[in-house]
Amino acid sequence: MVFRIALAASITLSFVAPSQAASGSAQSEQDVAARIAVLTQRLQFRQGDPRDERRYYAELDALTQSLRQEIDRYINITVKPDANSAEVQASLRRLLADHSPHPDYGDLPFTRMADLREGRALLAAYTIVRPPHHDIASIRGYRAGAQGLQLVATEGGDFEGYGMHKKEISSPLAGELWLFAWGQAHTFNGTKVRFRIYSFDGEQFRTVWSPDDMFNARVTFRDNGFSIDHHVRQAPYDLHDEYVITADGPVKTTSR
Amino acid sequence: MQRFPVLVVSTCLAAVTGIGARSGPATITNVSSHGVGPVTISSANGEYSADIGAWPAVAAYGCSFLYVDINVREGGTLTGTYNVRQSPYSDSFLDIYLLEPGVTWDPGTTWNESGTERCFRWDFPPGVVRVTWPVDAWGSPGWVTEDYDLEVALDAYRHQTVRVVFRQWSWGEVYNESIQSRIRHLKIGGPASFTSTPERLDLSTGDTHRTITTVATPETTAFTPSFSVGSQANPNSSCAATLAFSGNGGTGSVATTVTANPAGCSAILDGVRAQVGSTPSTTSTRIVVPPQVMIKMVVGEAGGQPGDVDQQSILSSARNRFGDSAFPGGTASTWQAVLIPSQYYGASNGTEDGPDQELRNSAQVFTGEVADIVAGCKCYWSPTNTQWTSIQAALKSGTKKFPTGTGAPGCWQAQARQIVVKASVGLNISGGTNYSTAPAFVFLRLLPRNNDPAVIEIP
Repeated sequence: MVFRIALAASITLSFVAPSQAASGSAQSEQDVAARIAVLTQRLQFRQGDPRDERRYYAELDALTQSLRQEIDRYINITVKPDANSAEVQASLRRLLADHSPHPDYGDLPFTRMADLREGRALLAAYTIVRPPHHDIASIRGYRAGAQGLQLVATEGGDFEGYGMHKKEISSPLAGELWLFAWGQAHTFNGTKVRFRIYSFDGEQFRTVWSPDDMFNARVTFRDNGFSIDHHVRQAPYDLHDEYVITADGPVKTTSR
Repeated sequence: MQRFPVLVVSTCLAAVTGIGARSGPATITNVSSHGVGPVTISSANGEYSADIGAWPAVAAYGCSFLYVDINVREGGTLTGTYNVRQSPYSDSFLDIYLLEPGVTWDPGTTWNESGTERCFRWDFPPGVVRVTWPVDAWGSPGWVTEDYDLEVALDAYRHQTVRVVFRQWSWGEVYNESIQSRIRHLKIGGPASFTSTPERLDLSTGDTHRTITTVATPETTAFTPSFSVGSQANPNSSCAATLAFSGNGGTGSVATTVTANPAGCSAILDGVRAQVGSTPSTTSTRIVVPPQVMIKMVVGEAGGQPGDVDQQSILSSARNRFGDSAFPGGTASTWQAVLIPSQYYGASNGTEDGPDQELRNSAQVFTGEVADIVAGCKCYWSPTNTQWTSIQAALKSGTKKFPTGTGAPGCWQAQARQIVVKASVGLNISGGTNYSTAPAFVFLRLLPRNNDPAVIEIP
């Protein structure tokens, strides 16, 4: 605990004003990793310590933003445009090893390198773990350029207050990457699940599908679509919905 | 027509007390008689009695009067009894009326068949108020009526004087026993008193049918109650309700409709008391108006659950979020800030009034009469039958490892947690067959101590 306080005091300024000391290109992967570790340390508070709790909530948004910026910087510095998705994903998972959400409510970082309509691009989706139940998901799009992979678009605001799982689904449109995301509301009294499908073309995200939240929902993927079993508050109470993926988004084919 | 001298024996017996005094209860200031027949008045222990009649003539008609003069002062009730007796060969009627302050109506003492003289007339002019309809003893067993109770409410004439008149009309002949009206135990009771019920009234701001009933003693009292509030509280609410009363009047019993505004707001009002003039009701009502969002939440989440505990438990759990900044609305610590649709499905329910059970349970939690009955839990959910099996297995084993597949919400997902099974919560009747063997609600909290079991049961 003493260590944490000392460490926190030493980086008070660094998370709000990062990389003052070195140029972006000169920063090493290790430097960014260290900064992320420090920021992660501050994303904690001592249970039963109202002062520390107030500090935590006061800093929460700024710390989150700083973490995202550091990850953007990390990708810019370390990920080459010709890297493959698996390598990038493994690298990001190492970097965010302390940000592994509870598996019931989220999953590990996801990345996908692809040649999209607007060029070579990277989609990264990850969760920043924020106790006690404020985990927040980010979906970020980068495009390769002369200065490396640069952030061009963000998405995932719909999942504030929700966990997030994600899975790439086969895009019916050439030059686009489609991401299926779903997650449970954190402190909702029950199991309320939000579903979204986002597309990314290397320049911007588009929300392809945004149904109403569903209760006790479970998704199963198939080659050309998916099904969702979920609870409704009136008879027949439990529904099984089948969807196929089309260029216009998912189309429900059956509900029983 | 034969006239008889009026036997006035009352004046010397009448208690003449308190004339001119303005405080204290009403007082009989004079009892006297007038008319064709003899009237015998007696007094004992502050009560007056009188016999009217002893009719000595055949085929004669006329009226005899007993006057009771009263200084009403702070109010009260003239009480006593009366009956009427007669022979089978004659008839006799008694009626009673009140002369309001300043009224001196006198119908005379004689009556004839031609109608030119009518001492027994019912066309009362203004200021003469009927107390009873005429009563006779024709056909009564033994030719005597039962004793009737007399109650004359005087509160309407505070600080004035009135006269209550007993008027006997007779004709016929003496047969064995004199024809008489017998009046007994005339005295002044206290001012009219009032009680109001119920002792407790739960009210939604959407309700327009809930009432407070005020009952007067004596029941002949005409009154229009107003209402006063002893004290008011409004814990953990962002909006205070005020009450409105229908303001209607009546005689004996008045049902006053109570409403609360603005919609959705709340209040706890103690000592709500009916007031008639300066007389408050001897009983009071506690009126509880819970925030409407509590009712909505219970209807939406636990409507139809037969057990009160089921409904109270989820409200109790919501209250445990007050003061906890980790939950939406917790810092504001109001029901309106905590019970929001993003956290409670039921918070978006459309109920605008107060179904009895949901209103009652909301009110009891709102006042704190139902305290924390979920061991500090701040989250809950309705498990499926399968999830409930996992929870039961963990409970039975006493494991310290949080079980998987329980459907628990994400509260404190990064910390050690504990499932709390409340044994008194009933089975889920609202979720269909996949939920029907599981309790309606299971609760969740931070693990109190390391090495505590992952699932516990409370009563």
